[in-house]
Amino acid sequence: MSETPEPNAQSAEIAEYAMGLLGGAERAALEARLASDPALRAELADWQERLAAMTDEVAPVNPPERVFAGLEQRLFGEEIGTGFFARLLGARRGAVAGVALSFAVLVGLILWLPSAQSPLYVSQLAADGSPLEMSAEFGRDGGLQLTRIAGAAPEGRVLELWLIVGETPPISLGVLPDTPKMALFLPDEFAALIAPGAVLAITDEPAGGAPGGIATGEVRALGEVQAF
Amino acid sequence: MAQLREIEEMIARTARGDRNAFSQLYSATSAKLFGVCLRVLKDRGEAEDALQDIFVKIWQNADRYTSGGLSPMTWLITIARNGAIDRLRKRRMDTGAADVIEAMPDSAPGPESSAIARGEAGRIVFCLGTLEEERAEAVRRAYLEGETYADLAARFDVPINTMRTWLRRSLQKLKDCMSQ
Repeated sequence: MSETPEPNAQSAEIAEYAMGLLGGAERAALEARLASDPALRAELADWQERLAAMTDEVAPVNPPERVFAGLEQRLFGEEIGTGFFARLLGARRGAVAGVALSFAVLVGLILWLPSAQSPLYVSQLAADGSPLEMSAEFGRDGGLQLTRIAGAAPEGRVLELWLIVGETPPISLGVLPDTPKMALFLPDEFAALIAPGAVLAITDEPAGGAPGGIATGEVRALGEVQAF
Repeated sequence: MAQLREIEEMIARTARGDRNAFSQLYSATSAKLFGVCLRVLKDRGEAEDALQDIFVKIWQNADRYTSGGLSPMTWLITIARNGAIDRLRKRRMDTGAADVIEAMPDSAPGPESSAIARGEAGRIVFCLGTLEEERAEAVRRAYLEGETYADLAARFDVPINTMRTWLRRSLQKLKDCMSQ
């Protein structure tokens, strides 16, 4: 039988972890256990609640205005947005920045399974001067199926798919695999955004995808979502 | 006045890329989080930089909030506290020693930010009060000032292992007290 840590010692160790007191090896070992054990994660959440209560004694202090101004500049400002999303949306350059929501839990790429049902929405993606052409079908089950009709990522680059809805920043739907057919399952909150008028766009990005979730490459193809 | 449920809603809307919601979230919570940064970093300029980084993280990770199972203020405070402490430790590695400057608040918090109530308010203070004074101070310093076992051992003039035993016992007592 493997040795199970005594409950109190385990709880204390999780508290130490929550406080940032554990050294490298111990921290790594505990992180591995946390990843596989929901009960440990619940214990961690309990500790975070208890410890955060200690900040009740910390007086709030209004930060100077420049902090928010700088923040907006960093997140939505001209020097960050590459401008192309603004152009394709017909908006003022910089008004819509190329900042994507970080896709913390990566969209799961799965093998493409043909669906008997007809899609809800479709989109044809292409761009002037770019050889890339793709078609997209969005099913009733939240799955987005992409078919590469022509073209590929430029040498040493990867293709990344973006969803653009209204004036909000583009949302990264993930890096596309180098296959002719691919399927993504979108989390409900993203699937809910796919509707006529939304735009799917594909940019080329460095290996691993857009750094920090911010598009940096050229738009290789884009298309509006339409009812099937 | 911002209640926890409203904060939760602001985070949910921020996760969908709603910049108005993000701006409201900043108005409602930045004073508290700035207070936390100042407490850890004790330097206004650094606390301002840290606060900006923290809200960049909040914008980028708002979609991860619900999966963590934390109350919204705990989630935000944990991001702020950990972000400020990362910065503090980096600074110590750069300079060798922390320059302690007492940070002075320059303005009172607005009604919105001071209205954020925490469910467990008061309980932790009571429970820290049940510990010996030095032990409670060690817990506070570890969490609120980001002090390491080495820092604490030097401060209280005990071996690191002794310090660790103290702190772990104190944390266990705190847990028992807070679950009563």
